[in-house]
Amino acid sequence: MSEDLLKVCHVNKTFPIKGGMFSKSNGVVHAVDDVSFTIHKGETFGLVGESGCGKSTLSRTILQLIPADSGEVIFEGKDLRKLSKNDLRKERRYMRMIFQKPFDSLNPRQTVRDIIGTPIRIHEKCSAEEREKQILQLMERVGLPSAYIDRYPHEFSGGQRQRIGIARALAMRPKLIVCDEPVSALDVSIQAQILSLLKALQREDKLTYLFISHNLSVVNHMSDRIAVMYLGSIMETAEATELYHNPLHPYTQALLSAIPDPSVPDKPNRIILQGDIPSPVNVPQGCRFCTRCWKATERCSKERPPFYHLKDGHAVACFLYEKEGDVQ
Amino acid sequence: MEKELLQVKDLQMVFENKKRSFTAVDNLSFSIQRGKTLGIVGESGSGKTMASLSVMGLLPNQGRISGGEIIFEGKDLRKCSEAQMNKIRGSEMSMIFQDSMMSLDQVYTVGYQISEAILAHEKVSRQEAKNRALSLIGAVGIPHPDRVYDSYPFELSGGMCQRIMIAIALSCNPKLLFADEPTTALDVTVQAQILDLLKDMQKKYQMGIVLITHDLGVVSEIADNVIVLYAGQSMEIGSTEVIMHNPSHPYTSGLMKAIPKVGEKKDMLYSIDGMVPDIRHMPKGCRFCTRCPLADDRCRDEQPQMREIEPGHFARCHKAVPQAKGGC
Amino acid sequence: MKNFILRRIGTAIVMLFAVMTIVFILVHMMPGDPVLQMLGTDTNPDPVAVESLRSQLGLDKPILQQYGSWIFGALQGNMGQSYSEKISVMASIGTRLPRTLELAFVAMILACIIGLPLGVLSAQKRGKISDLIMTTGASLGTSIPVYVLGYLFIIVFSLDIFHFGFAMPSSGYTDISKNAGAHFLRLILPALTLALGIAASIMRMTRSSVLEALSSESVRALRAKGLKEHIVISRHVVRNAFIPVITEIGLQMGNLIGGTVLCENVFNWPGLSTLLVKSINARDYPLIEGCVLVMSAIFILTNALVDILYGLLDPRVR
Repeated sequence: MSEDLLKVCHVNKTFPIKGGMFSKSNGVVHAVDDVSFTIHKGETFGLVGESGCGKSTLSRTILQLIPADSGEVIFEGKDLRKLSKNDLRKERRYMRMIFQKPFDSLNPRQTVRDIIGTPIRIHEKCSAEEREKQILQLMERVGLPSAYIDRYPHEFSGGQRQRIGIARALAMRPKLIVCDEPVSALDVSIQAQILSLLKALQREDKLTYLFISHNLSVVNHMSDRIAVMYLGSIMETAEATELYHNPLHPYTQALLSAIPDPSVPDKPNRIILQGDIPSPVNVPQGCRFCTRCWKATERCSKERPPFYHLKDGHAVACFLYEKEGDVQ
Repeated sequence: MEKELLQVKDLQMVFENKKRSFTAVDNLSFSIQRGKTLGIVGESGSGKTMASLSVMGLLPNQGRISGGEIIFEGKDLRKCSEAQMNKIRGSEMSMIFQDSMMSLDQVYTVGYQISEAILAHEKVSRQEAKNRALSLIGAVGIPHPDRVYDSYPFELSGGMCQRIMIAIALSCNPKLLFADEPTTALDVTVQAQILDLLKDMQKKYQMGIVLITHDLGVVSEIADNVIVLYAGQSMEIGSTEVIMHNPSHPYTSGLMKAIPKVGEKKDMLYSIDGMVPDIRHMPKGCRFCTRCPLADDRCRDEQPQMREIEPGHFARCHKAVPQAKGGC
Repeated sequence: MKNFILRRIGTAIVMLFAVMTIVFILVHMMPGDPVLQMLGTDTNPDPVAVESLRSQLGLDKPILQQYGSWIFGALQGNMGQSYSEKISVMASIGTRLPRTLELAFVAMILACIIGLPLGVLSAQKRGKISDLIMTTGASLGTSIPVYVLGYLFIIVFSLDIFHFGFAMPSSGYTDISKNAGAHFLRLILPALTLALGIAASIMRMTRSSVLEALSSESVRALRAKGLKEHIVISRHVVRNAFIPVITEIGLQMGNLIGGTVLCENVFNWPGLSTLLVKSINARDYPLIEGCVLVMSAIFILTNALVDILYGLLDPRVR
């Protein structure tokens, strides 16, 4: 069994809502609620969820860009939350991120050379020529012509900017790359190019990905294992093919059923969920999904179901599977 | 033959500034009947939004229609004055946009904005307009219409705002509805709800719907016919069945192959090489030749014309032949 | 909405206290001894006279006690006696304040009447010649200093160099109760001088705000509803665009209260700003404190009102 690269244990993050100078806190936003999962070395772990489910907050909490309220984030055996500032800085070179909006995540006043070269300059002591060589190498790997090294972000298309972002992430030879909706803002034909590039780079460098998206088709294509997130909590975790063929949690079933598939017209038994996603401020007391679940019972609205582990790494947080799985 | 609700013939639309002009829509022709849905599919730069804005008469300052005919229920819209167009917009022909939150005025309640649309076209009392607005809010599937009537757009979720936009668009029983990427900004479960709503409304009002999107999945859900645009030109026209399963144009089939499909675990996604050519440097021959796997010298020299491959199925390609059932 | 108003007033009160404290500290840190100034001697003052005057004025008490008694008194409306004018501070300010307020308000109203419509117009006519003329005029308006503009007006209208056939009064003040006509005649030029500079910045702010609103997606959606263009502008664009403009007006109002000093000087308009300058020169502690306090209070109040107005216009702020 491959070793664990990243272990996330019972991570919580809430944001207080302040009302202004003279009013007390109006409540809290439960952005990340008791989340635990493990990512193995060399795999792609997909995190799928709709807007407001907390997946972006979770990714930033893992990378220690936002401090978590509680829980552990263990990267290669070290708890990142307990590291000193200096030690954390050294670990950062191995954990990188690619963002959703290619334009917003690049400094418009820096050239490609600066964008890709800055992380190298910070973490490595090498001469300017060495650095230049590395930058050109990276540009070639991501498919950017070397002549563009002095251009600015606004001179590139969306897909090319995303390639710059990927080159920047690769500059430090990282072990883990968090891809936060990397292709959502791109056209379908460019999307396919970027996804193929990511897969190729993973094979060459033996990278591990945490792939976050709201698009289940894309996540399914890229990932080995997938976790489904809803309102701050993980509802189900399974291997990608298993999740598609045998979705256990009602929310996962609704998600899969909602995907319009060009090759399957008029899907039978379409599950249309009633109502809107509740606000992350007013989280239901019991199961997060009980307000929209067509299989909900009274118990669901009062008690939060624990994570039941079934065979082959398939785990689900739903009382329906109480008898089949064990709580670990 | 059914009377055509809208007929667009050889539409040309350009962007102009003092120095030069670019053609955004090049000789586009399409038509739509009552009660049917036409999907206009294209990526960024394809001209799909500009085409619909041209019909509605809502082009931005630098844009203008430089050629072609737009016949709506027998009237040539290009010959209509601004006052006449104002009468048609919102009452006979409506449009909904991608970002519903941005398209609503944040300082007025949503109920007011629906009533305003009614009062602009029909001579009714304020109370009657309000009553109609309330029943419209209910008709688009929003619970507690009276509470929502007094809400502001920023207090509602994206899905609800989109429903309000639909309510506004339907307030005067239009004959034709343009829907520009209506679900792109929404989560997949909400998207399913909105598409269902549009289908119901179409049945009820016997509207024609023009659905503009880059998402082939959405098109397969509700469109009867599809037109595929690339770089301002139409590439392929046909029924949804034919386009989805037996596309003849290499661009269309490339698009279909580039979409990751849940359940199909392919290692590498098919991707279309290259990018959409710059609007200022269009190829002499076929616009797609720079990226087409089948391109030859004739393609690069000679612009293909739209020709009928099978009854009702047209493609702009020298090499297009009817595909045997089973996809290409 | 009520909560919002209450909160805003609460903030204003806190700010007022902070200002009063800072004013007290600053004034007492100024060089120069008011006692010596009042006695009229710098060299060889009589120590007994100095001591007795000092204790009479309460300046020998510990500083915190002076602070406390001042705050207390000010809250009750008693800010002490002016050293230089021999009347109570309140009376002194009371005569001057209405004149400055009148000048400031009239100037602001004129500025809005000129600036707001021009801003909307130039946004609609963007890129055309008329827009160019208006924006150049606005640049000139913000660049010309008040005293230059004021003297220019005097030269043109009072000295009648272009021979319009009448001459505006160039300075002075007539109480409104004595002669309303003369009063307003003397108000026009100074108010206009102040107004033009502010009108220019209001116009620029309005223009950019309206331009932004015009190109927003909501305007496209409004046109798609079939609304007539003038309704789109007057009902939707204006209301959205004026929100940042209101803030600008509030800030300018604050500037006006304190900044009328140059204008009052040029036109000899006996207002609060001139009183403040006089009192600083005379080291008249109570009068200085009183003037600054009143000016700050007006500024704070105006801003609080502007914020509340903002909340009325823009539901998101509430």
